[in-house]
This record gives sequence, structure tokens and C-alpha cells, in this order.
Amino acid sequence: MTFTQKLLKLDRRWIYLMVAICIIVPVIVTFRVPIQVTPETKGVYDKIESLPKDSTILLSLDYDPSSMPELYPMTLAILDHIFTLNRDKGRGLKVVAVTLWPTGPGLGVSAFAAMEDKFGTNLVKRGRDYAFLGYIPGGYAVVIGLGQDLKRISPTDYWGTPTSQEPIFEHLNSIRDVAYMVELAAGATVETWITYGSKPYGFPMGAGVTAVSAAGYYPYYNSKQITGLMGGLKGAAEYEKLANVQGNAVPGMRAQALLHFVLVIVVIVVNVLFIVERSKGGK
Amino acid sequence: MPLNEVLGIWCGVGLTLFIFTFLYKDNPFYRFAEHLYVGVSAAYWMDILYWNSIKPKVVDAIVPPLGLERHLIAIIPAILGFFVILRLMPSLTWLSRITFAFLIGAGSGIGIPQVISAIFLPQLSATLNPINKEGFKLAEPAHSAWAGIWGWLGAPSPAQIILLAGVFSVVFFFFFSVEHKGVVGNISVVGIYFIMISFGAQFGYTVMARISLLIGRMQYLMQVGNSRQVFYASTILFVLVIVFMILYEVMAARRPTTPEPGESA
Amino acid sequence: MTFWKKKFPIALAFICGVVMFFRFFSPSHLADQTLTEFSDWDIIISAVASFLGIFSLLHNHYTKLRRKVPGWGYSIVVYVGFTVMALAGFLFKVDTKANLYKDGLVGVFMRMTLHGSPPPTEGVTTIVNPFNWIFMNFMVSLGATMFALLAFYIASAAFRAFRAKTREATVLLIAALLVMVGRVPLWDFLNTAFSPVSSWIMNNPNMAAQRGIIFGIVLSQIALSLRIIFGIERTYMGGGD
Repeated sequence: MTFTQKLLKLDRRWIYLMVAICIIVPVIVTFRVPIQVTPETKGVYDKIESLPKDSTILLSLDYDPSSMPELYPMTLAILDHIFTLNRDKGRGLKVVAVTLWPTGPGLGVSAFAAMEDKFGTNLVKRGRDYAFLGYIPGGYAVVIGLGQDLKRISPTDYWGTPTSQEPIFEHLNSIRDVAYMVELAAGATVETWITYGSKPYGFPMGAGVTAVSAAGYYPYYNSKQITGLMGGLKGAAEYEKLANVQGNAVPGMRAQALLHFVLVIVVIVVNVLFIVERSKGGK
Repeated sequence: MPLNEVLGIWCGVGLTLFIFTFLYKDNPFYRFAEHLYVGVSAAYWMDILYWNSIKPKVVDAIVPPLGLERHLIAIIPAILGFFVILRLMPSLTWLSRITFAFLIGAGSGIGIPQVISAIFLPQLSATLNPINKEGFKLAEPAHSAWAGIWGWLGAPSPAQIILLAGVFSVVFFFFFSVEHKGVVGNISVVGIYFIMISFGAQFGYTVMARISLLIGRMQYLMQVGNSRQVFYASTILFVLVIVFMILYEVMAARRPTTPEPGESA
Repeated sequence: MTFWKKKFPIALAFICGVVMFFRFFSPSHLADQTLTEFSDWDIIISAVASFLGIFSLLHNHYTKLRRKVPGWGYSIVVYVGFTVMALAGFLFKVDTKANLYKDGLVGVFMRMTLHGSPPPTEGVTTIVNPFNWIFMNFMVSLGATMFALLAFYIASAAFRAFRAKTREATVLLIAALLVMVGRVPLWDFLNTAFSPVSSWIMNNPNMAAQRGIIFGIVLSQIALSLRIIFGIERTYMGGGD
């Protein structure tokens, strides 16, 4: 077997080692990578920036721990942005969160706990500044139900407090009354929210999705059914840059960039060798 | 750092390393972690379902706490849900058909007009939008002149042509009622190339997605798990796992070979 | 009995489908109420029916334990994990902190024990909730790591299978490489050169193809829904008599 043939049939564990090195090195050695903010991410940011005073924002945290590295930094960056606007510009924006995924509640609770730690409970008070409805099973039926009668569909919040007793729901009878919605999705729930939520109940929405599914949502961005689209860790890093948040996404981009670059070089080299072998008549 | 947090991080790091041992090969550490995940996830789901849905919407509706009204009608959907659980008993499986007929029939009836109005028509409208100035950017003033000329001619811009060609050739490709020969075949081939570009772009994004997940874990192992406050849990456990894997390999090599059918949760 | 087993479900699907379809076009309050009621019922049914999966899983592992199939010891791990987490959730309720006087079954027991006496102070009775502790340290670690393995596999797949064997594969390969370099550039010059190309690919040919796929999915969805309503499609009823 020639060297080229051996290289083309390399044991996969050498590739695993290469991946591990490319991920570990940037954690130890810091270097700058360019993060250019795309119009897709800016669409979400600009919309939140421009919301009128005392608006309510709906967040749907439809992801689980397996998508946490991409979507949890987005959640924190968006919440940080909202509560910073409240603190620095007195916007009085409120957040109502829900999740259609069973493993979403734990992450949602952690995100709000992180905001309480950062901004203090004077600024981030449960029931007044934010509410978390927890997990409601049923998919599209939940979206429809929240659009019809929120307090009927979710009589209590995640912690068991009746929604009828919380000040945040005093003027919020359904999601028709929200000013903007951000859907953070690991699956196909963006279409669910567009079809059964945004269109019939008339509120604008943006989406933050895993990079796996990001390519499929460009038609909705093009048709302006979503104001913005954040895709994967890059989208989270862009939002952190816009909102000036110190999160995990920007540092993560170093490893992303290095491994991408190495993979591209490897794939190009392998294909060149493959074409050379094929032209020689080898396998 | 509180003891419970230190203990928690040690457990998290240990389980993370157990899962990573699968990269070498299937082994008892991975199997243990995998089965633990299955058990804990099932119970988590059950707990969340009970406290977030069943208690407020069924239990409290039938036996309300003080100050709340009774809504006995909640019994009907609870019974319909119970019919689905009866699928575990072969003689009573047929009862679940009533529930499925209700859910899927009603869902189909809701879905048809909703999907047409919310997805089909807006997407069609965006496709046939005559002038798409944003799709093809030249430097100014050439761009305005270009858009102006195309607009005056009433013709779609180059970007719009690409969009129309792409959408309709892909739709043609997925139309299998007519054989893909002749004109239809040629249009389908154009569709295939558009799909290949899209799948290539999707693959590029997928690589980014999968790497992100690994980056998250490495950040946890190297920053959270390897700090002094948790007594360098990642380093110690990494060494221990390597040692135990070597011992396992040595013991496996000494054991007489018998076929071991793989069983997973 | 055949009526209840076969004909009634089909008739029910038809009636529900037609009612909910025409409800869309009716501006009446009754139509609105119907939709609200249906969504509420759907949520309750989904919540109760979800237990089928849990019971099925436990039954599957019970069978393995009973028959002592190879690997049955791991089924004990499943049961232990399930029991501990279930107890944590029911005894302490689901929250980041547990108030031993208020929350879950432990709270009920404590209140009964104290016979209406005033509760102890918050600091004494609030502990870290075991439910949340297990979620953050076990489930998050395990779930995230399971999927983190995919990074290695996708790199291996890119190396071994990503070859320009045909024209279509070459087009896919070039698009993938341009997007990878353009979206996550390592240096400024790569960003300047490849970012606009990557952006153009995503917003034009990719968007066109994805829109074509969406049309296909939507039209199939409408056709399937009509087939279900008219009783032509009955696979949702499952097998058996």
C-alpha cells in the first residue's frame, strides 16, 4: 500500500486525536478570531432594542442539555440584553418564558437564576419582571392555547404560583398581547410557532436555532416571517458581541475556527490525493 | 465552594469521562453512564409532567385547593390519555384508537388552513415578489442603476431569477408522478444541483453544530472541572479512568473469548 | 364491537377534522371556545399519555431482569437512577432550592408533624434541591456528552466519506467548504474573502432549495391531513383487530 493509500485509509482514532488537540489548545492558548455580526442576528437584536417601554417579550426555550452549548449562551445573552435595557434605560421590559421540551425547565430556571444573581432581585423579580411557565406538553396545542387563554392553559407557573396572582399577567391574557417573541429551538418548533402563533395571533418573532437546522430557516427570514435568525454558537457569539455580554460563545469561537480551518485543509488534501490516485487507476 | 457543588462537579466530570471512553470502544463505564442517563431522564420527565401539567390541570381541577373552582370536565381528557396507556394491555389496545382519532383528526382539521395561510401563501408570495433588490448587491450607484433598469423593464433581478429557478426546479425534482425524462428530467437535474449546494451548506453548519457541543464539554472539563476549588477533579478522574480502562483491557485479554451480544437500553 | 374498534374512530376523526377545519372560517365566539377547549384537552391527553413511554421503558428493563439476559445488571442501574430521581422530584418538588416546610411530600409531612406551629426560619429549612442537583450534574453532563461524541464522528465522516466522486458530490463539497471557512473564519483576511460568499450561498441558492423543500413538505402535509380526515389513511390507529 502506498503512503497516499495509507493516508486515505487512516484509522479514525488519529482523527479523533486531531479533533481533541484542536479543541483543547484554544482553551489554553487564547487568540483573537474575527466575529462579524450578520444581518440575520442583528435582526433580533435591533427588534429588542426598539421595543416600546413596558413591552412583554415571550421566550420559548425549546432545547435540552444536548443543545445547551449553542442555545444556552443565546438565552443568557438575550436575557442580559433585556435586563440591561431595564437597568440602564428604564425600559421596563418583561419576560415570559415557556418550554415545549421536557428538559427545558431545568435550563430555564438556571438562566433566570443567573440573571437574578447578576442584576439582583430588585431588578429581576419573579412574578413582576419575569415569569416562567415551565414545560407544557402538547406541541402546537400549547401555542394555540396560549394564544386563546394563557391563564387557562397554564394555571400556575413552574413553581406552582397561580398565574392569576402574578402582576406580570395582570394585562397579559394571551400571547396576542406580547410585543415580540424569541424562539430558541433545537428541533422543528420554529415552524410550529410561526404557523400556530406568530401568524394567527399577530406578534413578530425571531429565532435562535442550532446550526444543524439553521440553513432550513432562511426561507422564513427571507419572507420576513422572522425578523432575525441566530444560528449556532456563531449566532450566540454575534449576539454577545452586539449586547456586550461576557459569555461562553465568544471564547468557544476560537476552537470552532481552528478546527474548521484544519478540517477544511484536511478535506482539500484528501480530495487532491483521492483525485491523483483515481487518475493513476488506484482505488 | 459548598460541598454539594464540589461533589456535583466530581460526579459530572466522572460521567462525562465515562461517556468519552466510548471513543476507544464500548465498555462497562460507558454502559453504566448510558443506562444511568436513561433511568434519570425517565424519572425527570415524569416529575416535570406531574408538577407542571397533571397536578395543576387534572388533580387541582378535580380536587381543587381552597379558593379555586372545580372543573370536572378535565376527567374526560384524562380518561382519553389513560386509553393510550392501555396500549400496554393487548386486549384493550383498541381504546387508544379513540384518543388518536380525536387528536389526529382535529389536528389535521386545524392544520390544513393554518399551514396554507401561515406557510404556503407567505412563502409563495416571497418567491414571486417581482423585484428583490436585496439579493444581488453591487456597489452604489451601479446597484441602484441596475435595480432601476430591471424595475423599469418589469423583469426580476438576477437574484430573483436564481430564486425562481431554484424553487421551481427543486419542486419539480420532488414531483414523482411524472417520469424524470426530457424537459422534466433536465429541470430536475438543475434542482439536484441546488439541493447539493443546500446540503453542502447544511453540512458546513452541521460541522459547526457538532463541534460546538464538544467545545461546551471541554470548557466544562478544563475550566469548571479542573479548578483548584474542586481539587483538579478533571485531571485526577482522567488519570483514574485511563488506569481503569487499561486494567479492563488487560482483564479482557486474559479472559477466554466468548461471544458477547451487545445489549443497550 | 367492530363498530367501536374500527368504524367509530374513523367517524370520530372525520367529525373532529371537519369541525376544526370549518372553525377556522367562523368568527363566532363558539368557534373560539372550541379551539380553546381542544387545546386544553390536547395538553391534558399528552401529559397523561406520556406515561406510556415511561411504563414501557420500565417494563422492558423488568423483562431483562426477569430473564437475566446478558447485560441485565445495567437494568438495575436504570431502576436505581429512576427511583432516586423520582423520589427527589416527588419528595422535594421541582425547584433550585427545597423548602423542607413547604415543598412536596416532605413539606406535607413536616407540616403534619408541627401540628400548625409556626414554621422554622428560612435559613434552617432551605436546602439545595436534590432534584435540581441531579439534573444539573447528571442529566446535563450525560446528555451533553452523548451528543458531544458526534463532533468526533463528523470529523471522521468528513475525512473518510467526503470525497469528490461525482459532479454532484463535488458541488456539495465546494459549497460545504466555502460555508465552513466563511462562517467561522480564523483570520481577518479569510473573513473578508469568504464571508460575503458564504452569506450569498446561504441567502440565495440554499434559501431557494430549502423553500422548494418546504413547498413539498407543506403540500404533502395537506394531502396527508385530507387523507386522515376522509378515512383513507388509517395507520395512526395502529395494528391489531
